[in-house]
Amino acid sequence: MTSVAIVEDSTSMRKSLVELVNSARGYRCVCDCANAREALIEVPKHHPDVVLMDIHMPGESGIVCTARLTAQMPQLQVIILTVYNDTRMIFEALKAGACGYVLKRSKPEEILEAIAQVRSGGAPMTGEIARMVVRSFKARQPSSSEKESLSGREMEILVLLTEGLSNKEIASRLEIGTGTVRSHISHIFEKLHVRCRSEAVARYFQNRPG
Amino acid sequence: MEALVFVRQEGGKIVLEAKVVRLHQTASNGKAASMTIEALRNLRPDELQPEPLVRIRGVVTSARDPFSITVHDGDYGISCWFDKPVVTPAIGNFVEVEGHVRAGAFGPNLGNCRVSNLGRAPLPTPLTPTWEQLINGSLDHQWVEVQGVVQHVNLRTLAVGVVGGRLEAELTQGEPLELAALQDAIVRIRGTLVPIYNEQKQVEGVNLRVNSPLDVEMMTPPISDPFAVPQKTIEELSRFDPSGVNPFHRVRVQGQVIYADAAEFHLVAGDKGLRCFLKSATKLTPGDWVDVVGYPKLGRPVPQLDEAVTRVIRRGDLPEAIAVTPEQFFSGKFESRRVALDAVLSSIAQGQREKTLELQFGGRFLTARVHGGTQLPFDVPVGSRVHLTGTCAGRGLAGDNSYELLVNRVTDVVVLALAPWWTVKRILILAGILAAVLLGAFAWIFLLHRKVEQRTAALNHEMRQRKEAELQRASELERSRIARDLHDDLGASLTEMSLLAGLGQNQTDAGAARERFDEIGGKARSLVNSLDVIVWAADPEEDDIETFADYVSGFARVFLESSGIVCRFKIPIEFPSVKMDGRVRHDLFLAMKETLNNIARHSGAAEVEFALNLAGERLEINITDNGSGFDAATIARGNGLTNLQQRLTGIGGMCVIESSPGHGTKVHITLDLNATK
Repeated sequence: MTSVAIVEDSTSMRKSLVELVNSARGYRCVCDCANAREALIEVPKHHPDVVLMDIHMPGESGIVCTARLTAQMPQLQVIILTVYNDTRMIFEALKAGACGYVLKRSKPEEILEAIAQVRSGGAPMTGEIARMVVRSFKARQPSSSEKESLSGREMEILVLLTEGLSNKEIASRLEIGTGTVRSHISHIFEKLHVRCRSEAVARYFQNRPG
Repeated sequence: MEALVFVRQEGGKIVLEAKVVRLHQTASNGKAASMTIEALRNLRPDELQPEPLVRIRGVVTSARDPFSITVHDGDYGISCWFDKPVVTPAIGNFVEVEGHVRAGAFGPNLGNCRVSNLGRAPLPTPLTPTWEQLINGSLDHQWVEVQGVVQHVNLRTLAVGVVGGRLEAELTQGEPLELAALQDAIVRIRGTLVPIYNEQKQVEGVNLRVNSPLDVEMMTPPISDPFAVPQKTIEELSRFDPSGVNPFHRVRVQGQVIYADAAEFHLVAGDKGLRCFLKSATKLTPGDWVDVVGYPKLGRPVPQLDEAVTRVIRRGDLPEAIAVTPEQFFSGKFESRRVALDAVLSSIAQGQREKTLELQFGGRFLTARVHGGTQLPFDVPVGSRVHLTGTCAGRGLAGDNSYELLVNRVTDVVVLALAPWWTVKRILILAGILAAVLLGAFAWIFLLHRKVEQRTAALNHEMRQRKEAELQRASELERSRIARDLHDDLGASLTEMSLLAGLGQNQTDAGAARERFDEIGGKARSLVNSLDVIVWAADPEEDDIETFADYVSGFARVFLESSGIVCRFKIPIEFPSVKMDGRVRHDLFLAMKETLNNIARHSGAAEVEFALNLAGERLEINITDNGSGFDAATIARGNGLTNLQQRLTGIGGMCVIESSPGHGTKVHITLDLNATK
């Protein structure tokens, strides 16, 4: 059983999502919050496995909320919900600690699949996200510790991802297992989180209006 | 008879000399008061109104014409006038005169007189007045005796130089021929003194009416050779000389003429100067050595010779002039000496005989008279510095510290420096002009400056307005584009959705209704996709090429994936920072969507290669599929292909499609980003 928390300001959307999660076998919605403030209180109480997090909310944004929750609960897996396919915003959320994203307009089964994917070891990294990750790591100081910089294999995988290759294709190209590829991608995300989390939080606090 | 006598001892005897004899005889008119002339002279003006009738007695001292006589009563004389010409009584007659006392033009006189002879009487003892007494007016019609030298003889008159001055003696009766012999003689003359007065009743000179040549007594006869007098040096003139007792002794001096004009000349001997006033006009040339004879007169720093006559001994050159300072010049030590000085000309005056130059000399004014300068041009501007050579001459009375410079000829005035052009007046005019020009220039600059400012402000305003209008237009264009996109992309889909919903409501079959819901869901999702694109294109933060590449690749992946087509990318990870505006992004995106749509629908391809590259500012997109391809020549262009072309042309891009049956299709899109701005 996978416990899910939902953070979404739109009441109808939130109810639909709760219904969708509860109606699926093996998923249970443990709490639903209307904003970031509520989420920061409720989510730690219920210890969900996965959080579906809306980006645009009144008050603190989903990105800041993600950063705070993952800082508090490192095992928490956050999936970002977004109306638009706003690549930059999604990337910011990933940097803040989210490990996947799903468009709100997606079919219900796609949303559930995204949760399943995250649960089974991490979301697939798309080409455009991979490109942003590469840029992000390139822009950073190369002298940083090994923990924070990408290995050669990780970079190799990222470049293949930008070219549109699937995990399976990468595995066969590099003659490694698919699980290994997935584990590499997980590491890449972790490194991205480590590098970017605090910075992302700071930036979002700074840019918050008012 | 009444007699006035003087008592005198003569050879042990006492002699009575009768001076005035009066015959006591009553007048015919008893009304007339008998008065002495002294009392008459002392009458107050108010006592002369009406003119009192008086009676006097005295001796006739002058009878010049048939209208008047002078009567002297022993103390004073008075003139008596007749209304009608009379046979005047002889000189020496003792007469009684009745007449009215009048104030007279100068002194009192008797008018409307009647005279009666009483007998003869001796003339009164003459007074011997000094020059000052002669000219003080008190001796009007007094009987006097003066001593002097005959300077001129002119028919009936003698010009007589006396101590202190000169008077005219007029012979009223007798033969004048005898007078000629008196020239240059020293004489003693008796006569009636008549003052010459002016309108202000001031005495200007005196006349002596002499009754007869017998009243002129020669004391020293004229000398045949005037130069036969003792010679003296100039220095000796001022020293002790026993002969100086005689005021009419003459001396001879030798020296060199340094200045001469018609009336006077100056001469020097050694380092002494002498001023001489000529007896008669004599032509003297400066430089001449001369003998001068004249009557010495002292009192000024240099001696003076009056009534000078000259005799040229020899010609000579003028002595060297002494350069003097103003202090030396005005001290008088150089009087009648030839001096040279530098002065500044302050004005030129044309006198009757000569040019007068007014000069500034060491802070004092100096007058220079240029002899004979009238006919010579002398045109030097005022303010010029001149060098003058001439004779220092004293002016006015003794003790007067006034000096002038007598210049022989105009060539003795040398211009050292012409007046500077910058006189005060000219400087003021120049400064005025300069100030006016400056003022004008400032005013002009000010006006120009203001004009420029106004123009700049106007231009700025215009530019701002134009910019605002441009921005306005751009934003309007953008707004209308978004509105059009919203209308085109969303309007149709929403209409369709409402139609589907309507159909679903009437559907009784559950399966058919579900189909409609699926359709509505699909439409809604694609609607959100369209909205996504519109919003992305309108977002100014997403306007660079990198974002474009990320967005387009993400879209292509999702789009092709849903059709089961694998998409490979050949896109650089990083791009230079190049901006793409919303319209270009939107149209380019739609062009690509069109292409991908064509691939998904018609090509049957399994794999698509999406390549995007930037060469400079030229964007190149190649979308290649491995599908069935088509023959460009035979297959009529579908709506999709035409749309593609139109969209690209609209943003300045172009599109080349290569395809052949069985070999896939390559869509080659190029766009110059620079041209789209």
